Amino acid sequence: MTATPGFLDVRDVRKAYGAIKAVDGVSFSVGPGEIVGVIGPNGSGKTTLFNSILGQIRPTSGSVELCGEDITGMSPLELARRGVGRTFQTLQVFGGLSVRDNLIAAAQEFKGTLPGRLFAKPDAGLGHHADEMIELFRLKHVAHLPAGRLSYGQQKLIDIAMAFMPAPRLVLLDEPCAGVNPSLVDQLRELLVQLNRTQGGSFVVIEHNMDFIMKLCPHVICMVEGKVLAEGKPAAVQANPAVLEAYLGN
Amino acid sequence: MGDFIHLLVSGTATGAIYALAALGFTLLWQAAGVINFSQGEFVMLPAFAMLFGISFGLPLWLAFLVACVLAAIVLGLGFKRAIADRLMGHGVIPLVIATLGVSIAVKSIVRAGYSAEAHPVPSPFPGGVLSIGGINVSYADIGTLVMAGAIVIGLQAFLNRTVTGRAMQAVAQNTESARVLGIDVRRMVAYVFGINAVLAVVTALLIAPTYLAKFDMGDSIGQKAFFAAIIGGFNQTRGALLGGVLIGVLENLVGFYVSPAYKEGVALALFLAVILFRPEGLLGKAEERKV
Amino acid sequence: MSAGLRRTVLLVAGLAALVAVAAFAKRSEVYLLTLTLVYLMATFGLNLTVGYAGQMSLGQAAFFGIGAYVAAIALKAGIPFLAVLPIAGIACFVVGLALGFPALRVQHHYLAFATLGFNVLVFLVMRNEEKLTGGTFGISSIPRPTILGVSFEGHLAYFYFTLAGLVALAAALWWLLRSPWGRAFAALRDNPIRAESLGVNITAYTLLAFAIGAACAGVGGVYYASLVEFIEPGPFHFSTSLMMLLAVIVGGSGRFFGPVVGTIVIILLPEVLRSSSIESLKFMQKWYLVFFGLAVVALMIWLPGGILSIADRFRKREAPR
Repeated sequence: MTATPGFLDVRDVRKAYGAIKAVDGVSFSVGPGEIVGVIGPNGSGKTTLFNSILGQIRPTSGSVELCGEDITGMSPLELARRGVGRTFQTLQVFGGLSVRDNLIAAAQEFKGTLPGRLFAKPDAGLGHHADEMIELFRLKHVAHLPAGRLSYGQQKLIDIAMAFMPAPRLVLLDEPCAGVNPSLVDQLRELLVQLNRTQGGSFVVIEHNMDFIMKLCPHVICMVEGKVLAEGKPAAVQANPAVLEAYLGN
Repeated sequence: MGDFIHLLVSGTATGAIYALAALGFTLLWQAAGVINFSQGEFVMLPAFAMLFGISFGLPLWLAFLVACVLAAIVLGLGFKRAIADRLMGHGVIPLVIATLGVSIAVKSIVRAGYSAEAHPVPSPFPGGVLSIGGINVSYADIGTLVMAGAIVIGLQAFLNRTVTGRAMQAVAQNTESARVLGIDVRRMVAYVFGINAVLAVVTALLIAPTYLAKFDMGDSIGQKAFFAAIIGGFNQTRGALLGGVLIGVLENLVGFYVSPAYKEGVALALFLAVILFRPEGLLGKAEERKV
Repeated sequence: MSAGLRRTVLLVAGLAALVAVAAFAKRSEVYLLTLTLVYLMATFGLNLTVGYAGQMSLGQAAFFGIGAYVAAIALKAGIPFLAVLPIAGIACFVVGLALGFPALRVQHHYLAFATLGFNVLVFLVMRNEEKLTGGTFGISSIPRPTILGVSFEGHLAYFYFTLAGLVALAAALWWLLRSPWGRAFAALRDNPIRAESLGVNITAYTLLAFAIGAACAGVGGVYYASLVEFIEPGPFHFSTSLMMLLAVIVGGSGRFFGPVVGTIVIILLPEVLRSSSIESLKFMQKWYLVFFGLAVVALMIWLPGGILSIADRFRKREAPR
């Protein structure tokens, strides 16, 4: 599948910290409903690229466009309102709220107006949807426990489920497998495929787990030293000698 | 005109005292992430310690030195070990609350255990006024300025010129990088607590003769230290100096030309103006948000 | 569900006991109980700001004072009590928004300093603007309400009147915390970065949590003015704000009934010690704040969840919120 320009377009993004070029002219496009994987050794600029797309940092130059609209440097709130969701590398759940409340909190702000939500039903009409998501992620047995008390892997699943609660158009997943029990990795991949099919959003995934990314993503980008080294079908990228050298070399 | 210059000089002197307290406050925040709400009590206690020393017949300078040593041990290391170490890394709020508790306990100990009265403290400087061309400046103001100036210059020299000082600055700017560079972060943080305590003793020495030693004298000085630090820029040591002097001078001017009743409100007004128009502080650098 | 039922039974029993005890208590004791209820209005509101939304406010006494002065002036001008309540509440809400907006634009812990400074400024205005506030002489002979011909002039009647007000205020807060707003408050307290990425407008919610907390203090101030019948700046000093904050934390911030425990500790207990005729208790009163301050430090180190979190230590599996 080739990327259809016009959904997410990353154009020549650069981010320099003093003399260090963390991201050095990266361009790529993601089509509607497409899953794109970003791989690369540590320090290759993946996270900086992610943060540039997500408005956590402002790129030194270049632009990010969503459906033709320039979203470069927009705040996370503005991005969320445009249907951009994300998951985090480190645990980021609402520790004091129950799992079910975490999921409802993830979507309630997209329903109605702010004053209207004061008078809405306590579950903001999202209880059923949250229960479905809990079922999907097999979290039913812990649904009413505070998220902060659960295991690392469970919190990671909650974080991912939260990102999908509002059915975003674009989801950026930052190392979804990190810290997840290897036996659950396949299950997680199937979940993502299913969500991609039912919700129709586009995904950009950063991941170190090669097997996971090769099976999940029809299109893979390999970054090295802030630049795109190779791009294309997973098998082709994997077989690229330059990629092999970047991983094994030095 | 004579009034104005007099107000300017004495305001700068008062401001220099605020700056000293703010300096310690800023260093603590930078190096250890500690917002110390008992900073004012850290000034009040040494004032009483010096009074005790004097009542036992010590000369002021010796009482001051003894207070410095005691403060470095009790308010520096003691405070760090007993409270700060246990709460650092749990976010800002627990430490703020705990230091509020310290503030209340310390104030109440002095009030219940010693006295609720204000006690005069001898000044390290001679009384009297220096007149130059119709402008009157008290020796106390001159002495305060000289001493505060010397301390600040000395501290800056220590921070910039010595290996230890540079290591402390590195810790203040980026604890993680400092650790990677092989700096003994724990020791540097301990030094910062010690320096903060000694700065508080100097503040006490300079402020107590005018404001008198009283159990609640720390309320006002503590607040001025916060505001001076923020006005100048929380992440800049020089900012604390500018903030302190600015508050001192403006308080004097407002007190004289506008209304003495609102002198205490100057720091707040300045603070609100700063966060509205220059949120990072006058000399501060904007921090990029982190994930 | 049984936990919820047990809690309701406990609550009703507690209220009934309070009603009964007050009927047989001495006049001074009823006064003290009423005073505790009035402070509870302010600390309940502060718990929303601090405990549920995670914002530091060090100016609750200023809003309490604004409510009290608005009430004193309005009640003496003949405006009925039930009209004064919303006036004071809305005034504090608006002032809260105006104060919170610049502070929250920057960094969240700036709210602590802004509110502290604001409290100092409000105190100065109360002390210095004699035409409006009576300065250090204060405002005296503030009337107690008469509603639909029923007078709440008597100390017991006013106690019941205040109790009803507190129950209504607490019910409104309970309802608010169960609404999606309550969930958004908790989300921004637990993890503002995550919340923002999920579309939670953290600036708006933080401002709202702060301003609603301020409005509760304003309402409490109205009841306070009518209770003491004479106000002067003293009780609205920022040290009262600190005590209110500590009341919320000591009881257990983010627990609905946390402020009840905390307010008893900071308001009722010292007064009980003061008025005690037993010599050793009098001694305690003198040193009370020392113990209190040290207890706060100890609490932060060993029991940061407050007194009410002791139960959790024994009972691990408890329903959230």
